[in-house]
Amino acid sequence: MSLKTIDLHVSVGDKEILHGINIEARPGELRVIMGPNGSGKTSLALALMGHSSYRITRGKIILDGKDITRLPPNERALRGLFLVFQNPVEIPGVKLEEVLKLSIKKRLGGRECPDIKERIASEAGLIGLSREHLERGVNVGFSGGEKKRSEILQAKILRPKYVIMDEPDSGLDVDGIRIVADVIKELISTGRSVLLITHYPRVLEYIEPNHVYVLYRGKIVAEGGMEIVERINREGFKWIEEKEEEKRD
Amino acid sequence: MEGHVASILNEKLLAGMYASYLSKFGVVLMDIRRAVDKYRDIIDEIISRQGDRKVFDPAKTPGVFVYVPRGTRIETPIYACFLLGEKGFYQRIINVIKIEDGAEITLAKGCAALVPTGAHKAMSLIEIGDNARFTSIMIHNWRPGIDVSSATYARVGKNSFYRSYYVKTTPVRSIGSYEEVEAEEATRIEVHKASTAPRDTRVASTAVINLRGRNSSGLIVTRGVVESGGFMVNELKMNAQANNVKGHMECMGLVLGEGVMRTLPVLETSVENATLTHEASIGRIGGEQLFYLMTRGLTEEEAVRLIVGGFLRGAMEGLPPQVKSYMDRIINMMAGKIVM
Repeated sequence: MSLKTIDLHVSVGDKEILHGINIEARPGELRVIMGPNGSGKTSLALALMGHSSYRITRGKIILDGKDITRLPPNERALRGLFLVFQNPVEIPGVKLEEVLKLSIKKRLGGRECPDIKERIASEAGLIGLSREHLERGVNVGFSGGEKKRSEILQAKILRPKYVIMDEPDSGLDVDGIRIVADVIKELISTGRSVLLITHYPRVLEYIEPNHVYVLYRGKIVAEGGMEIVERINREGFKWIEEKEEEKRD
Repeated sequence: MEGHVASILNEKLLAGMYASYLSKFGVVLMDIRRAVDKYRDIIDEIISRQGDRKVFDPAKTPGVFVYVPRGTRIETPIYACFLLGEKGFYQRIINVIKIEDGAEITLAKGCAALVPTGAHKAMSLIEIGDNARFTSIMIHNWRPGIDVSSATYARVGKNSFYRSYYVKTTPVRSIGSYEEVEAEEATRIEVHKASTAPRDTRVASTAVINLRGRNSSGLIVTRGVVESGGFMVNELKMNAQANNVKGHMECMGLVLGEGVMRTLPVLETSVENATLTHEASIGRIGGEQLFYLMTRGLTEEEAVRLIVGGFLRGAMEGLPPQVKSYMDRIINMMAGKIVM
């Protein structure tokens, strides 16, 4: 059981932006993808979720042993994949509560979930979103931090098997980061898998990852454990750039 | 036979228990042909203010007469409905509505067709006094072979509030709707419209607010969705005729497939101190919105319908709470019928 990519090549238009990515996320584990700005982290998240602008030209995405490379985003979602967006869109007039209810109904094969309204309100309160946020259009008028909380709320309510989190900690204050860390802990302790994408290791002060990948210019250039996070904390990504320059020379 | 069905339904509604219930508040709701004798002064006065405008003869044309006496406030909406029940029939309607000073009501009107073809032409003349509040909700529920034309002319007194909401829920061959409202001093006017133009449907909608009194304000909000093969034109006009007035118009359109949409916003002032603004946009459903909802497990079709429903709902801000959930269901039904 895992989410993995095999030699994944992704293009936007005519330009290849990811060059042969091999990663794996497993149940009950936190795996982290780190890399400087522009290294392809968000592109990888969107390609995993099936965004039509991110064309897979070679390689595969395997989810629990099934090839999902050609599946549309909704089918990937129903098989257990979820993306916490870095910059989620606004959808005026469509309430977050309505989206969550529909989404759960789809996951339950068309059955209504009787206590869902109360559960959404209760979980929202725990992560700092009010009833009024749920009544508004999705992300409409939300601050940056509120958008992140809304994304985290959806992950908590929908309880997907594999959660890709694209920079869930950016723009959050200390309390917000602690909430993200707590949600990650809760997800992995209940057997979910979290693939955390970040270029800033603050959230990892609260939770230790099982494995770390470093993405640079569309390639995985290093992987390992907490020692990589510590080095990035100390030196930034300069050492990665130097290492890659050396390779090229 | 079918034509008789329509008139019987209206007669029963207007002369039955419902009208009798309203009469307890002094509110009159009756067929205008019967009202002409008893309320001739009111009806003649309102018609005389129409100037050169051609008005249907209220003695010979069906329709409703609504009279709300001074200071009467009713929370429950007053309902009136019109049914087109005879195939190929050309139905004409005239409604005359008089709301006295300090009164407050919501009038919900529904128009529907029981037959596949025909024509419906309606005219509503509305006069609202000072310090009054009037909310009008009009729901059009036609069929694809029907031609419809409706015109509303309203005059609103000082320090009053006039809001109208219009939704067209089903396909129709052609529909032309015109609404013109005149605002006196310190009065607020809002016109809200949500329509769809399915294949082979032509929708033409005009809304005009004349800000005649100082410190009056106006808002026109329209949302239109045009499907492949549909046509929609929205004309909006905010006319400043007194100082210290404010007006805003918001005209948004979504085009699906090969539909055609035209938007004509007009701001006009003949005074020195007026603030008039407008925003208009016509576009397609955003790919990122679709992708977002699909990542939550919705199919593309479900996502489009959710987005369209949310978009149309944007024209329905400020609805009274007693009709909000009903309108929500209507909007969901409209979005559910969208063909991609």
